[in-house]
Formats: sequence, C-alpha cells, structure tokens
Amino acid sequence: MKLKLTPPGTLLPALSRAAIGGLFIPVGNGAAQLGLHLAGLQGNESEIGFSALAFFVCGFVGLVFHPQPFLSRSRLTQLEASLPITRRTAVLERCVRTFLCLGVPVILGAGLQLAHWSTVFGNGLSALNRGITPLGLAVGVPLALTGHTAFVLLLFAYRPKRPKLGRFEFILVGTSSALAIGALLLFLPWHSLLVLAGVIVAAHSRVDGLTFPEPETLAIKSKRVQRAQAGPSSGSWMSWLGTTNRVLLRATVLRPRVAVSGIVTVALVGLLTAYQLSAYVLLPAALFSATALIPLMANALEGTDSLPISRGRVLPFLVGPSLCVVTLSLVLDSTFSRETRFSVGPARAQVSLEWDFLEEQVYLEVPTRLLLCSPPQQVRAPWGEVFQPVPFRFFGLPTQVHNPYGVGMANTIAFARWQVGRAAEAAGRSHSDEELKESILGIASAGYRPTELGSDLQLSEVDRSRFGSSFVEVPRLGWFRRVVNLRLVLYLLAWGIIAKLYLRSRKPRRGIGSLGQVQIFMQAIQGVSFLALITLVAESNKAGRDMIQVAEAWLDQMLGGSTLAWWSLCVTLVAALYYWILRGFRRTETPPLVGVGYGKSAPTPF
Amino acid sequence: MTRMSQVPVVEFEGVQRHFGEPELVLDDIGLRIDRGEVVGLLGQNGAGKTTMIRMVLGMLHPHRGEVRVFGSRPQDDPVAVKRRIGYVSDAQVLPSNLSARDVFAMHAELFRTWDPELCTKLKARFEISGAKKIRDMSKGEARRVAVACAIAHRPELLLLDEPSSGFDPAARREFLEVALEHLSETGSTILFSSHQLDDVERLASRVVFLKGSRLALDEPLESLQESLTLLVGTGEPGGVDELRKSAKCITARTAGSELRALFRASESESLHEAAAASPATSLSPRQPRLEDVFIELAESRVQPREMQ
Repeated sequence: MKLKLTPPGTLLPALSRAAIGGLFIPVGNGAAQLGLHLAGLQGNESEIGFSALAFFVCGFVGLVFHPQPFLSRSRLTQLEASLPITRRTAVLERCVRTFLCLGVPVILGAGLQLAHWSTVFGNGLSALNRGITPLGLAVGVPLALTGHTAFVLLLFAYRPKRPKLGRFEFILVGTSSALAIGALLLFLPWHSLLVLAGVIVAAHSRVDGLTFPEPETLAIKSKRVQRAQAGPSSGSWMSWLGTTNRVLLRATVLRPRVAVSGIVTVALVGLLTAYQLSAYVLLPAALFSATALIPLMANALEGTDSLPISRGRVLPFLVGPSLCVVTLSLVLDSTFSRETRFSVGPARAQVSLEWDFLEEQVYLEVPTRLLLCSPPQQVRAPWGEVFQPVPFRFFGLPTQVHNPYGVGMANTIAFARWQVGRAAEAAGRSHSDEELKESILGIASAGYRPTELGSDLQLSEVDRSRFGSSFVEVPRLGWFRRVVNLRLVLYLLAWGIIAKLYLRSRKPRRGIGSLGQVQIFMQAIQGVSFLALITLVAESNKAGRDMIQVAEAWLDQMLGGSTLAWWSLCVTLVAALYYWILRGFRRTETPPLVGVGYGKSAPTPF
Repeated sequence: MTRMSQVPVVEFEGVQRHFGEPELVLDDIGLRIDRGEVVGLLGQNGAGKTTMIRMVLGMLHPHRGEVRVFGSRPQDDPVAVKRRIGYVSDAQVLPSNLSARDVFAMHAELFRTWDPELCTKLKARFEISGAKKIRDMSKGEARRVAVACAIAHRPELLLLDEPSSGFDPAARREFLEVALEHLSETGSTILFSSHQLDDVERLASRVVFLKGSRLALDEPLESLQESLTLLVGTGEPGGVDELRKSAKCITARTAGSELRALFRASESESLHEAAAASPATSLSPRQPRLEDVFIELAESRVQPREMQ
C-alpha cells in the first residue's frame, strides 16, 4: 500500500516539534547531572535533580505527545474526508505520521544523552549506570508510545483473510495470553504491568480497527461515535439538571476524551503508586493531563458564549474535572503509597530501616516534628554516654533541624542500640521490638561499628531479603490526615496557576504562538530550577532533597498538627485559586482556540 | 421622548482591534445605531464584520476605544446585555447533540422574555421538527432553528451574521419576511452582515461599508443611491490618479479597458470633473445600484475617500 501523508504539509511541522521535545530530554537531565557533578556529589544523591528533571520530561513529553495517541482514534477532519482516499488509508497515514514523530525524540534524546555524558564525565559507562533511570523515563515514554503506534499500525495494516477468529482459536489465544500475562505477573511484577497495559491498549486498538467499515466510503461518523456523543434527551436521568446545565456538562465533563482521560489517569496513579514512581512520573503527568483538558473544553464551549450564560456558571465545568483528577490522584497516592509522607528523612535524621526503591537503602523515618525542636540539646544515655546533635538550617526555612536519634563517630554500639530503640518508639514501633533493633544492628556482627556506618547510621550494605518482611511500615496518621499534605497543597497551587494561564485574557503579542509561549515559559522554569538546584545542593549538601518534607513538617507545626486545619488550608486555597481564576476569566473574551501539542484544537462544540 | 430612549442601542467610539500584532482588523471605528434602525454591515471577507458583531455581544473586546450597547459596556455585564440581544452566528454553533426541542428549552431557560407562542409560530412557519437533532439537520434547517431562537425572545437588538447563508431562495424569502414582521411588531434594532445585497436593499435602512479596517461608508440606503454617480468610461482608460485627486471622487479604477469611478455628486458634476481629468473618449454616468457601490469600494486598491 502506498501511503502519502495527508493533509499535505503537516509532517514537517510535526517532526520539528517532536525534535524540539527530544532536545529537551538531554538538556534537562544534563543540567541536573552537571549540577550534582559540580557540587561533588554522588549520583545516588540526585533526587532533587531527578525529580525536577522527571517533571520537565513528563511535561514536555506530554506537551508534545499528548495528542498523538488520540490521532488514530479521533474522527477524520472534513479535509481528510473530502480527499480521494479510503478511511482506512487516512487512519494508516495518521499512524505513520505519529510513528515518525515519536521516533525522532527517542533517537535525539538517547543519542544526545549518551554524547553528553561522555563529554562531561568522560566515563560513559559508569555515568550511564548512574543515570539509567532518568534515561529510561525520558526515552521510555515516547518509546512506549512509539511501540504502541507501531503495533496499531501493524495490526491495522494487516488485512486478515478470515475476519473473525473461530471459537477454538479464540479460546486458544485467550487462554495462552492469560497464562503469559499471569506468568509475567508472577516473575516480573513491575514490567508486566507495562506489558499488560500495552496488550490492553493494543487489543483495544485492534477491536477498533475491525470496526472500521471495509467499503471504500468515507463516512465521518461511526455509530459508536454517534452513540458516545449522543446527548441527553429530555427524559434522561439528567433531565433534572435543566437543559443548559446538561449542555455544559455534555460539552465538558461528559466528553468521551475528558471522561476517559480523567478515569485512566486516576486509575493509573492508583494502580502504580505502590511502585513509588508516583512522585517522579505519575503525579506530574496527571497534573499535565488534567490541566491539558481545560483548553479542550474551553474550545468546545465557544458556541455558548453568545448566550446569556455567566462565566461563573461555566467555570466549574471547565476547571472542575482537572481539579478532581489532580486531587483524586494525590489522595490515591497518599492512601496507597508505601512511602510515609508525614515524616522526614533529612540526611542526619535517617535513623534506621525502610526500603527505598531508588537508593536501595533502608531507613526508618521518625516523625519530623520531633526533629524540629530547637536549639538541639545534648542526648544522654542512662549510662552517661552523650551525643550532641548538629543543627543545620534548610534553605529558605526559618527552622533549624537536628536529629535527636543520631549516633556520633565516637559512640558505642550500645548507644546506637539505645538510640534506635528510642527512634523505633517514636516511629510507632515498640521499644522492646528486638527484631527491629537486631535487624538494624545485625550488621555489627559482621564486624561493622557505628563509625563505619556513618554518623547518621545510613547503611551501605543491607540484606535485601529483609525488605518488606521485618520492617512493615506502621501507619502513624489517620487517612484524613495522611491525604492532606504539603504535596497536595503544592499540586493544588500548580493546578490553579496552570488553569489561570490557560484561561487568561489574551492580548495580542508580537507573533508568539501559543506553543512557543509555553515552551519559553517552561524553559524559564527549567533555568530557574537549575539555579535553585545548584544553590540548594551547594548550601545544604544532602539536606536539599528533603526540603519538601521539612517544609511540610514546618507547616504542620504552624497548623498545630490539626487535621481540620490542614483540610481548611486546602479548601481555602482552592477557593482562593478559584476566585482568582474566575476574576480573570470574567474579563476574558470568548476563549480562543488554544494550541495543545500539534496545531490548534479544532472547535468541536458539544 | 425620554432620556433613556435617546441612548443609542449600539455605539462604537474610536474602536481598534487586532488579531496578532500586524493584523489590524478594525481601526478607529465610530458608529452609532439608534433604536429602530436596521443597519446592513457590508464588506469583503475578513473586513471585520463578524468582529464588530462579536464586539457588540461582548465576545471580543476593543483594544482601543469603547463599545457601548444600551449605554453600557457589554463586557461589564455580559449576561444582562446578551439577554436583550438575539444573535444568529455565521457558523453552526447550536449544540449538535440536542434536539430542536431541547435547544428551544435551553433558550427558554436562559431568556426571561422568551415567548412560547411566538416560538410555536416560528416552528410552524419554518417547519422545524422538534424531535430532530441539530446534527441530523441540514445547514438550512439548523439555521432556521438558530433564527427562531434569536427572534422568539423578542430581543431589543437583533444581530445577524450572514443570516441567509445556507438558505435556499424560498427559505431566504421566508426569513426576510419573518425579520420584517418582527421589525414591524417590535420596532427592534437590527444589525446584520450579509453578502446578499438584495437582502440588504430590502431590509436595511442604512448601510455601513468596511474597507481596509476602516469605515469607508456609513449612509442611509435611500440617500446613498441618490447622492452617488457611477461613471463608466471607455476608449483610453487613463487618468485614474487625476480622478482620485478630485474632492468629489470616492474611488476610481480601471477594469480591463474601462474606467470606473464613483462620485458623490450629480451626474453633470461628475461628468464635468471626469472630463477634465480623464482622457476617456466616452463617459457614461448612471445611478449606481448597491451592488455597484459594493464592487467599486471593494475593488478599489487604495482606501476610498471617507464619505460623510
């Protein structure tokens, strides 16, 4: 089959945008790695850089690629439908275009990343090992999308002689697939989820592919699409809402793309949060996906703007879905994540053990509020042995932090045992939990002494077989308190700012396109963050990575540790942001078409 | 006459609007439309007609100058202003997933002055099927629903953006009759844009012509044709620049072997002016039709001399 890319001229701009996205992958990571390198730190201390990088990567990848997987599923444009090609060909061409566009950043990202490492560090292999996770993330996302597109392309291009599977074949294929997935789940739980997701997506695409009409006609709407877009009739379950509210609801929340995107985002965060990737990938991606829906819905509501419907009535429909997705994602993450949010592990406060997915170390975290008392007092064991905690200040926070459970270089094993017992008690474990103490100090039997463990008892060697068995995390906070935290506050703030940016009043500017504006904005953020990262790292060494947790503890102190106060803070913040957005939105013109990813979204009202 | 009734329904004052830095769509527009006037907005594609109509609705804001509708800025209280306006867009903007019945129900919810009887009358007149969904309708059918929605709440100001596009000749005539009836019953003000100059001649009491982002012409229809003369010259089509220098010449151009010039003067005065400036061997004056005026203004490569 000979394919020509249609509409003509769309490939080059799409490719150039994809290339720009690809260029950002190594730039962000390189900056983070270089900053850490200059600060003389080890690779495994790069959490802040990694976190910031992941945010940017997800942002850019999302910005550039977000619309791509939908291209093969969205309705044909009038132009495509008017061209002398079959619908099948048109869809195939879209897939090819997507495939080409996704491949560019993969090649660029991976190639430049490797070249960058070799140049800066001169030891490509070790640097590669150090940064393999960021690379995987940066390249993995577009790679996975590329794979998906290629799979869809292959499936769609294939014209089976027998259009339907026979009953026997169906049972055979179904059973073997289930067994294969089951086996993968048993042996490779993490990767198998990706495989499973890929299979589901591919299977779904396959089903869609078969429903395309074979005749050489170019019907714009399929019955399925018509059903999905069917509006509520007067006698429907939504009739009590009134026609206007139903129209607004149908144009926003109940749009298939909005509803599906929201549900999938929340479900993914809920499912994968146990893998502790949420903070680095899922939540930023959820924030991006959710807020990217705002201009889509604003475009759809363009048709109602001539009617006497106030902006105050429209706004909840525009920003409500994204707020729900962001909040639900964070709540799910806080509920199911293995990470204890309300605790802090600044370098000198890490006392003992808990599995850390990224650093492959174990440490038990103690409640932060206990660490914030100042000035630090000398810790004296019952037999007179003393330890003087060293206070240090976090960048930008008016609070000194110290670890009352630390162990000095000259302290004995007995002192370390006593301190661990106190920390365990503070962390909710029984003081008499010998298993805990022995596990922590078990390495002493192998000849280690506290001095070799380091002043903060960070363990360099641990027995991985102990993970998850000996040290089950004990929840210290109730659900109502756990789900409201500083991260939720920050994400709500980010949501408000992004929503405001999307719904802002647009005054004419000198020829800067919407995508260009966003890219410049993101570059500015990236530059500022890079500087902040360097400053943070240089100022407080390892402490910078725990700034968020310390800030949370500080905020908790300010709020008196009250759950009600935390909830009030979140509700007040949302209300203030909503009012801020509404104030600007009232003054805006009819929301113009906003570019999301490739080109401008066509106004498809209702 | 009370003070309130003297407030113009629509007022543009030094309005400027651009889309992007180089694209100036409207520049220094001044326009006043009083109660009961029917104003036809003319201009080529992209001249700014839709932009002006959208500004009246408050959907677009002026970048300089001010737009006032019923004496207040539409963006200050857009809901209150829109409740007094009936609007038919140039595009299909009705919710396509709703039936006509639901569309009417939505408008009845939103407009306090909704007249169910008038709506029923219009539905019968336009042969609108209530159960049919907008997306299943033809362009003309959907346009009829839009027109019915715009009129059935008896608006004080009716904004029609290319209202008869998509209508067949019979439907177009029906639409015009409905508009005229509405006009005679309510005395509403109508601002409409159209490329159907017959409709404009039949409906409008005043025409406003936009050219090169400015108002090139704003004049009552009756006096417009009486006060203008179109000169068509044959032979040697020269002297265009000289003609343009004449104070009474609005626009002059060559079209093939013809010289065409539009004068604000009587036939004899126009002939006198043209004879002195043009080498054309034969000059024939005539009273221009609206279509002639439109074409001359539109085809002119230079900005026409402003007409008062």
